[in-house]
Amino acid sequence: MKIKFLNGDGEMSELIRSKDWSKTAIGSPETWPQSLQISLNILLNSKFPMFLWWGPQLICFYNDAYRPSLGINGKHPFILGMKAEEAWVEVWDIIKPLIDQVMEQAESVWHEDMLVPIYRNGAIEDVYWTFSYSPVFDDAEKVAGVLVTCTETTEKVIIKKQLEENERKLRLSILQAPLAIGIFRGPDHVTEIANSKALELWGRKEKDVLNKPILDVMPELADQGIKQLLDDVYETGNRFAAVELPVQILHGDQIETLYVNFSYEPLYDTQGKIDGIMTVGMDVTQQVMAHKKVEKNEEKLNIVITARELGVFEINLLTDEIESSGRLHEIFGYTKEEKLSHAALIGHLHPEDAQTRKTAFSEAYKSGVLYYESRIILRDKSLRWIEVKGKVFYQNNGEPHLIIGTLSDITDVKKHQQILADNERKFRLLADSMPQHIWTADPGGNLNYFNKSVFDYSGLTFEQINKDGWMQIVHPDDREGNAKTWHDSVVSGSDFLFEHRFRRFDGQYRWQLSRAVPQKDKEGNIQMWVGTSTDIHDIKELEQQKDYFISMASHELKTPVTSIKGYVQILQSVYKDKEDDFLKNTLKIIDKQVLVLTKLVTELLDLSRIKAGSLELSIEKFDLAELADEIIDEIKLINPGHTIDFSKECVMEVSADRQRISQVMINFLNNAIKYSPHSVCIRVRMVKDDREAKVIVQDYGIGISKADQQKIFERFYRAEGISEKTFPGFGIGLFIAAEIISRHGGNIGVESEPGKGSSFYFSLPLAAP
Amino acid sequence: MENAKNHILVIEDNEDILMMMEMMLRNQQYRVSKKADGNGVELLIKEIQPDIILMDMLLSGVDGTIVCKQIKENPATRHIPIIMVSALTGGRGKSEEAGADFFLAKPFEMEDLLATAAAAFGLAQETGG
Repeated sequence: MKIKFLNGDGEMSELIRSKDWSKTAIGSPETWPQSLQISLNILLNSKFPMFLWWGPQLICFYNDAYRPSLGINGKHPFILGMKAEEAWVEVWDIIKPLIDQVMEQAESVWHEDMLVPIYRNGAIEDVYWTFSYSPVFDDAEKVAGVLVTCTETTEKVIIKKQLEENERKLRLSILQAPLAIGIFRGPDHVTEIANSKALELWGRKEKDVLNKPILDVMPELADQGIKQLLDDVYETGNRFAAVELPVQILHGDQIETLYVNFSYEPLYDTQGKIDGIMTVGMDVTQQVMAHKKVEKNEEKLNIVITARELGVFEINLLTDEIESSGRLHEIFGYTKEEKLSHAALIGHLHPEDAQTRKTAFSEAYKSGVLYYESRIILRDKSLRWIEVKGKVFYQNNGEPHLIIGTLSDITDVKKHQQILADNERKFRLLADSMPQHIWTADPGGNLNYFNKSVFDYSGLTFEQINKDGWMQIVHPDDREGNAKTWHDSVVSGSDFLFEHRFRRFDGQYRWQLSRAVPQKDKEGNIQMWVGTSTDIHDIKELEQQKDYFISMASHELKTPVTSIKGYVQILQSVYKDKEDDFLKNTLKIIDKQVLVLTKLVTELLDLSRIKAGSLELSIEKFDLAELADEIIDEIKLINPGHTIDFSKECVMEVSADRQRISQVMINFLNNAIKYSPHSVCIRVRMVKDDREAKVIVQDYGIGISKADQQKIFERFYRAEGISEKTFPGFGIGLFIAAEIISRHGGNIGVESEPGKGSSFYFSLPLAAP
Repeated sequence: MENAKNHILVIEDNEDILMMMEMMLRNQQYRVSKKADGNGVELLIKEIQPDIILMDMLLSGVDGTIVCKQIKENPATRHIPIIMVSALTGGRGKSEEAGADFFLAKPFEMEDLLATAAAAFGLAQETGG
């Protein structure tokens, strides 16, 4: 049989020709419709791979060009003439909808690089296709078949996939790189990729930089020349690289200076045209700072070396070679230019110090640190002191091989030390020859020196005092007060003054007066305390005896005074009606003088009581104004020559010792009279506020100078009178008055002008209502 | 005869002062009994029944403060007002402590002694009457 449309000489034409089609659904070729025949004619003559499904059963046809796609040991040749559903069972799900679309809607379908796995080469293979399904119309213009024009693109797809994978890997490696990497595209340097290191360096987030011109995102770079650099690389293709370039970058809300090593590399497209820039960078700020610090330290070291005029040396311990600085030469009395061997230097060492040096070196090999002081003898026979400091460097096997160090001339320091030592020796000698206890303490109050007298007195050694503290020799009853007073002085920096008992070697406690003053530097900081303790035991005993004596004497004096006073008063009363003026006057004088004597004795007693702290107060509530009234009346009787101007105006109730307060008032009034020899008027005023009552006694007498006003309330002070005879008394009246008022919690004072008179006043707290 | 309540016992170991006080008191028409030490005072009181007692604080024999306390602790004698006299430091306090009703510091004014004695007789009148 010869069918025209099947007369081609290809394999598929041959197969179609030789196939017995009569058994198939579409019957023998002679019966095939015109449209099928035309289609097959095109198909079999086409050099493009083509496939045709025909008729309702979709009988398969394909051409020679299609044949390789079916592989070896695959569907070829048996699917020829087979129903599509049977022939493409493995991909029927994929192609059926496409075929249906074409058959039913008479539309072409186009797909590119579509995966349609097929069975070939003995297995199902992933095969990619670019294909079109086109309707083939029959003679009645109905869709009778689907013509498939296709190309297998498996190879292309695989290459493309590999490219994609490669790019993915590249991106991944960029993203994971320990360096900051970014890629900018186009003339505006739009950020295409930036890894986390780059974002960290830039101080930005990925979403803020991606797909945006980098200079828009980082405007702070604009005036740092970065734009010019990028533009230059983009235009010229010249790579740019910089090392430790300081760049100001906004991190958060702060501009930071970062030091960066970075490069800009041009990127080329497939046509060899620059289409981007890759930047690779590294933040080296920390390293730069470390460098700078090292440089600074080196600079500092140089300053120190220069300032201290240190000689510098380096000894190679293996070869005994030495490198030494000019200053070191100078210290040894050589010029900078003269050659100096290690041995020559050692030759200058004072013979007595050779061992010191030797010991220091062997110590240094063990500890790594060299230190010694020694004397050297220069060529002119002069002696100098040097201080050597160094560090030992070791080899890997642990052998020392190098010592680098400094050497300084400490002759002056040594001289000062000598002077200090001499001074200290003198001080100790001086201190030890004193009978007083002398001691010193550090600024914190810790006692650190005691003179010999302390050890002789206490019978303790320095070690014993050091171990258990100096407080051990203080009487247990005095320790608390002692510790507190000392602490207060150390804290405030004020002088320390304290009376306490120290235990002598024989166990006897003796009273000491201790005094310590802080020694301060120019700035006023305490450097040390220097203290003394003086034995006042005998003085104190004498004083106690004196006080006891005064107390006893005044008591013993009172007995005869009582007698004299009593008998005089008896005599006065017996002879009061007699006309014997001589008798009466003499008795009056005796009575008056006994009164003076009584007052002196009383004052002496009061004084000894105040000293012994045993001045007793017998407190009661009374009207101060009434008391003043009574006293003034009495004083007026005794001193008819003076007028006392006083008017009781209101009640001033106080809680006080009536006897003692009247003593004060009498003292004020007597003084006013005594020191106003040429003025007759005394004024007494009383004022009160809501807190206290005040009594003022004003005279118009001789007055008191400013300087004396300060001292007038002190013990045994008396006004400088015209003569001692004019103003008799011990001068303790005001001292006692001041003590009495102070014991009552009141105030006492004076306002006075010499020649114009004085105003003495005292105040007492008002009694609670 | 004198006022019924006018008997005063004066105890003082300084003879001159004892005599002086006796003179002052007698001059006021008081009946005065004297004793020169602190021994056996209670017996004497029992015997002579004084209205008031004037005594020095420092006595030879038994101390004045002890004598005073004994008198004030004895129900038979505690009503008798006592005037204590002393030249001692702190005498007033000790006197109060011992239970004396009045105190006079040596040296005293005659006037003060007589005023105090009068006050003591007055007290005796009130309490012992």
